[in-house]
Amino acid sequence: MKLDNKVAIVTGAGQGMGRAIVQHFVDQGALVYAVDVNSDAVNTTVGSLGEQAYPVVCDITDESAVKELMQRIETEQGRLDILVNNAGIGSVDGFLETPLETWQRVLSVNLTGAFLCSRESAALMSKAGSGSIINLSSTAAQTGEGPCHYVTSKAGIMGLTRSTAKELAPGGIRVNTLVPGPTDTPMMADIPKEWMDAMINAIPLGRLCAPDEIARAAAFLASEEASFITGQNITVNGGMAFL
Amino acid sequence: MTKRMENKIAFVTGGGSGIGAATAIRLAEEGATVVVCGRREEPLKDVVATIRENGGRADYRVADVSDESAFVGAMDAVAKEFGGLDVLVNNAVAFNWGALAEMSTEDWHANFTTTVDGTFWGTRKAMQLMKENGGAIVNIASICGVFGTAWMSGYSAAKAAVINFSRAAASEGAVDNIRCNVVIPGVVETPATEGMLSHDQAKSNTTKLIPMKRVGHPEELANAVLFLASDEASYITGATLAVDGGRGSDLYTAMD
Repeated sequence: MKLDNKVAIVTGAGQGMGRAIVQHFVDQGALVYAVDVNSDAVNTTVGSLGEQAYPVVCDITDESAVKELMQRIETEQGRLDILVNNAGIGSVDGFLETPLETWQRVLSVNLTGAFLCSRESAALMSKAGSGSIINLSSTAAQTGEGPCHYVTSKAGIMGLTRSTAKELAPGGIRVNTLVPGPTDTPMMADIPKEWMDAMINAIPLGRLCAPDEIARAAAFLASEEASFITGQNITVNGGMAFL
Repeated sequence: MTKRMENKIAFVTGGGSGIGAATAIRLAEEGATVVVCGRREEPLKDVVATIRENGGRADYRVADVSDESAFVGAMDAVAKEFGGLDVLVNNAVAFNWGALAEMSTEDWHANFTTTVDGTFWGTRKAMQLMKENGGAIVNIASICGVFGTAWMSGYSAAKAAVINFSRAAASEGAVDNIRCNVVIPGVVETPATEGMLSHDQAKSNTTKLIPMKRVGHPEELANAVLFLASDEASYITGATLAVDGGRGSDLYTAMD
């Protein structure tokens, strides 16, 4: 299978895309550390996956907690092959009414969390001289459709990818971004129906993305099949925007 | 485990060597019935023989992609014989080098016939053949189609055309569940680059500019085509996937 014997971290594993990625990676033979701040949610994710997935409760914005997670993985597995920076939050805020706290909170989880997990993972991966990091951006970063904090954080992810891809390539670590279009996840539940209808109308394939379709793209990028692919933004958006 | 391309019929142009041959072999490994198309019979026969020795299903058609009726006729015949078409890989290429200031109009046009007209002819026929059941078209562009390349102005323009043509095709094909995506190879070890890469200095200058510090292998391109052609990419259309060791993400590289 594509990910046999690979050790992976998936953040934001408690729901939506993260849950689908954990399940698919386990199906493909990986051993997955499923990370989330919500212990009930992450326990539900790993519930039926047996010994191939460990639930980890960790706040990825907490530097020492992230370091602790890496130490644990190094002790238990001796290596790390894959990191999926999927954890993300958002809320519906008009720009003029966006509280500073919300702005800081979104950037902290979506961008600083990805930075911390990338830095600490890359340190562990570079000991083996190989690894694959997959960052989750959003079509919103291309189109500007969405609240300012979320769009900014997701555009930042693309910069993080390009910079780290270049710097880590000589060390055998590949870094790529998946850019999903609107995906059928709990995060979308709060979006007003008119927005949703307008969004679906703008998608040539005429439907939302299924979380598993993101998971399969992530598995491809994580696998040896993508061995010459790094620094890329790969759209999974039903044709709604080109990059 | 079910193979990823079981029951799929695939047509690969320029299938006798390099990326096309590697793609044909990889698609067949995953269960597709693959027809390779090209100008010269011998290499096509070899690819088909390799696939059959591995237990796969394959056939070949000799046709020049720059000859509309021969190429489209071959696609039609294959669809008729094998019962449809699920995957088209427009990989055939023809180009010439030369200083822009000295380039004849004829040479300029020669960069477009196989690459742009051929991609259009193949995609148009595929959209007709795939209308009922959907399908996947994968067009092979080049990093030259994203960045202009000296002494390859015609090729750079033609490959840029392939990229944007594919986006338009994706938008139009989506309603029939016909996906169209682009693979953008960087420098890959193929017969087309053999001349350049056989010079040590040229090779070292080339790899120095690639963050991964090596050129790509045809098999690495084949895996990207396989992914986009497979149902694993069911929500991916109009996308470009660069397989270039990070070359395209690199604005400059400090020289040592």
